[in-house]
Amino acid sequence: MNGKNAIPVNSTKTNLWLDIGLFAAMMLALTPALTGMTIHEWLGLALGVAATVHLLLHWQWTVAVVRRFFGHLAASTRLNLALNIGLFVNFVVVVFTGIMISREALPVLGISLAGGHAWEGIHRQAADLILFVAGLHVAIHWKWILSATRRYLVAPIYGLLHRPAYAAPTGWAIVVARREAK
Amino acid sequence: MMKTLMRALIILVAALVVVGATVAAAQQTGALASDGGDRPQFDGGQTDFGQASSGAPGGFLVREGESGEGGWAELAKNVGVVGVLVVGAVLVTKGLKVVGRSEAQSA
Repeated sequence: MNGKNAIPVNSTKTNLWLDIGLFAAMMLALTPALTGMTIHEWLGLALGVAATVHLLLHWQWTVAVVRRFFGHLAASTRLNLALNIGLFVNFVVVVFTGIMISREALPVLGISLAGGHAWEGIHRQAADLILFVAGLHVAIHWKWILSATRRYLVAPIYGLLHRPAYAAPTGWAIVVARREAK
Repeated sequence: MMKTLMRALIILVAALVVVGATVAAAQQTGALASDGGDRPQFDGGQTDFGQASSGAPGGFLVREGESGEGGWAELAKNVGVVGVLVVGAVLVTKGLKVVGRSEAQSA
């Protein structure tokens, strides 16, 4: 595979769609009363993979900020990193304790773990906490979410709904038309 | 590709460190020792998850119950919590900007 021949990827667009999916999946996973336990557990495991992809997409930012954490760095960026680390730890705890008390997903795979009420308690408390930490994560990136949504979601839909009846002449078509007019 | 795999491996190691710390903390507090491995049983939609251990039906925010039972209200509540946090953060940021601007003008 040659890197030069690779199809260019719009990272903002990719990030936006992945983040919308992550948010929706997390909201659903945090509502087992709606989804039922089977979907709750499989969704939780899938979220683990999706969160890893999310981290990989933001790898360069993470490495750059970690390197400069004790150096010159804006307070907001430092706070952002601290919150992200907290979210990562919280997320790992939720997924791990979820695996420990799995009743649907893991038995299907032939795995049975000796989970207990202690893991349940930790799972529940960590799930409560992750709602707040993920909410803060969304709040911190609100401007980016708004501008990316406007650009890649609202604008294309608006463009489709308000498409002009004819194609406006552009570039060479205008030049040719001017020459012909002369 | 190799670089991505290495990065994923680093994330996995970091996750394992967190898991190790969680297990160590749980063992140190004695939560696991007193547990006795008494797993909750799932019987076709009805669940005793959360009730046997604490007497409460699930967590403070994230509750479990029969599938479909008040589920949409739970989802709306969760989205509402995130919404309140976002609105709060936007208001705080704008408030800080206004305070900073008025301080700069008075100085």
